[in-house]
Amino acid sequence: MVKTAHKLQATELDRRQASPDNAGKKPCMRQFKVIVVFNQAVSQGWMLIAFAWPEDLGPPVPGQFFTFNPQGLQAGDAGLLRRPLAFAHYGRGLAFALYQIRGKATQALSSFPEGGSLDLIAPLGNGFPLPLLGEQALLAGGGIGIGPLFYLQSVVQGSDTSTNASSLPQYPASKLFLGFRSATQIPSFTQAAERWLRQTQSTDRTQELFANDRQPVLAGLADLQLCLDQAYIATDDGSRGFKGTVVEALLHEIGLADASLKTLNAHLFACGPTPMLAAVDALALEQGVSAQLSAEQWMACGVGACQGCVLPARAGGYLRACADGPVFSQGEILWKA
Amino acid sequence: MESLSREPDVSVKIGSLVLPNPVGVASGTFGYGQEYRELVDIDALGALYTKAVSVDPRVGNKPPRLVETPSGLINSIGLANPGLAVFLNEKIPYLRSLRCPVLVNVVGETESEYTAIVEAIEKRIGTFQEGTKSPVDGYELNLSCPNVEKGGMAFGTEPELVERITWKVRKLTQRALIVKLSPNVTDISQIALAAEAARADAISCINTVVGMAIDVKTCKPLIARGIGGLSGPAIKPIGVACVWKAARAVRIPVIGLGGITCANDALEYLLAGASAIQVGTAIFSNPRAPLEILEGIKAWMRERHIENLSQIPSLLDFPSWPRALTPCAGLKPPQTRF
Repeated sequence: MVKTAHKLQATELDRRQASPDNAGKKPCMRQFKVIVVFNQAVSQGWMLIAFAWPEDLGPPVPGQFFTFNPQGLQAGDAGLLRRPLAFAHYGRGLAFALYQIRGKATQALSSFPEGGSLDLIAPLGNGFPLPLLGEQALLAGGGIGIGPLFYLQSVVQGSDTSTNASSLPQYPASKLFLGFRSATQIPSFTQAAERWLRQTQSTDRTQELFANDRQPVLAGLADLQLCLDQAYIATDDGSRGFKGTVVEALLHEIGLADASLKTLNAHLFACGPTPMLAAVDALALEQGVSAQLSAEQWMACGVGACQGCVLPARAGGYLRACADGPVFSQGEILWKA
Repeated sequence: MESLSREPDVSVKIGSLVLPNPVGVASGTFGYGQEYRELVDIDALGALYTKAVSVDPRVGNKPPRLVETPSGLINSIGLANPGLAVFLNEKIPYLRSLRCPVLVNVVGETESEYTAIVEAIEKRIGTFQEGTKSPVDGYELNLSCPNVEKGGMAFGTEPELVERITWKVRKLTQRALIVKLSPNVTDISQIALAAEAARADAISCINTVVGMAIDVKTCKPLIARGIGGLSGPAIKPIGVACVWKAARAVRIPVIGLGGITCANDALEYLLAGASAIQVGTAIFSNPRAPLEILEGIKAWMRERHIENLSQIPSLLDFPSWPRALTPCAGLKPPQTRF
């Protein structure tokens, strides 16, 4: 249906991985090339990228991430290390990721042409565990950390029709809370879809190039927009939704006066800036409920070898964001070390 | 004409150990192998140099531990490792399954820690038999880590200390013994001579170069410990020069590393006098780099009808200085104890 991801030249290792002995095991991380089919701005300084996912890998787990090799940058210009991005959506053979233009590598990625091929290592890290039956999943995302929660929400709600969603157990409707600095940061996937359609229909070449990807891309964007439309919004400046932090919005909505998180049988899932993760961690401890927190950290290898991306562990020592995380359980990390 | 189609011989002899090819993965960038096993055909590597092993577990330095700088990476990991006991019980079983030579990077805060580690590993893996693969095929003494308060580089900058530690370890093992040198010294040739005098089988150079980067917005260093070790393409010319100097000072093989990302980088080191090389930081960007580099070296050799790796250093088109005029001229060889 969509263009198949191009694997780098097959090696002995690939043949061994593909052997029947490995069938049914957790998908191995792999280095491969993908064709970028979508790479558009979705709000001020925020971008969404989508690419064909190798069919034989199986879907990534929400909370997992990939690393890409920055293209068009020289080693002397911040192009030496790979950069990690979390999956924001997966469906119909396409994987999506949200990113913010922050430094040279994300700046370069933002101008990476649709149709170009990007070198990835994926899937990496440990994703979010799914909530247990009967648990009330409360998802909180802050800033660019909202990406993995979109994906988690779509899996928990079974809105991702391309996977075996019908076979998933039914959960109480999970609630998604998203925090932004201001309304200008809130993405519009609908507008991005319109712009992409106009651009890809502009010439015969792009029409042909993207003909097969049109439906999966638009469906993915529609899924994301639906998730966003159903989410509770908080902004720091009050320009949209609740005025305050995403954690304050969550507490306000739940109305803790009459219901504690414990009686709700709540399970918290969060990704965002460190102060926000610290707040969710503390809230879960105080209320005696489970929480899963996805951390962000600078990385070099992304696979657990270099020990560069560590976070201080509450039990002493350090944990690697890439291989022990990026999703940690409540109480594992000392956020304010 | 027959010789043209013959595959070049890329094996390298380090003491009693034969490396199947010259391309190894550098200590600290490849863990103990397990982390990369899904991405790299480890058995095809010339050598795996493990993450450093210390007697006690080390949690490592406070984060942030990394910062990318122009063409480089400053790290201050602080030799984080699970310690000798975990290495013996949990890492050796995996290393035993590998077909490529495994060199254990050894680090200590005192001389006795270096010997304790080698002694314990020797005891665990049993008697050395030449030509037989064992879970550990040799040692790389880390006398050059810049990221710790005690030990590491503090040993590697004093020729007498290098000679003493190397000799103490030498007496414990017949397996390949390599001493990893720091570029943060006045003259690397002196340190290389000290290692050779203590009967090291090879030296590897270079470890990272001391570096620092500061955030001008916050006015704070970008890594928690202030200074760290710079690696990556930025240090390649320093590494090539160190290898060139060291290779002129000693007769034992020199293993070159520092900023190698492609076959041409590796060839620079080989032309400068290296017998083998290691790839480090480049693995983070492209885990397939080591095997791509090996293919590139072979292609270069085939193109030039070079049959053997050891022929490469003689191809350097530069006056071969008589030993008396080399940069280490006039140096008194260190006192040997044999």
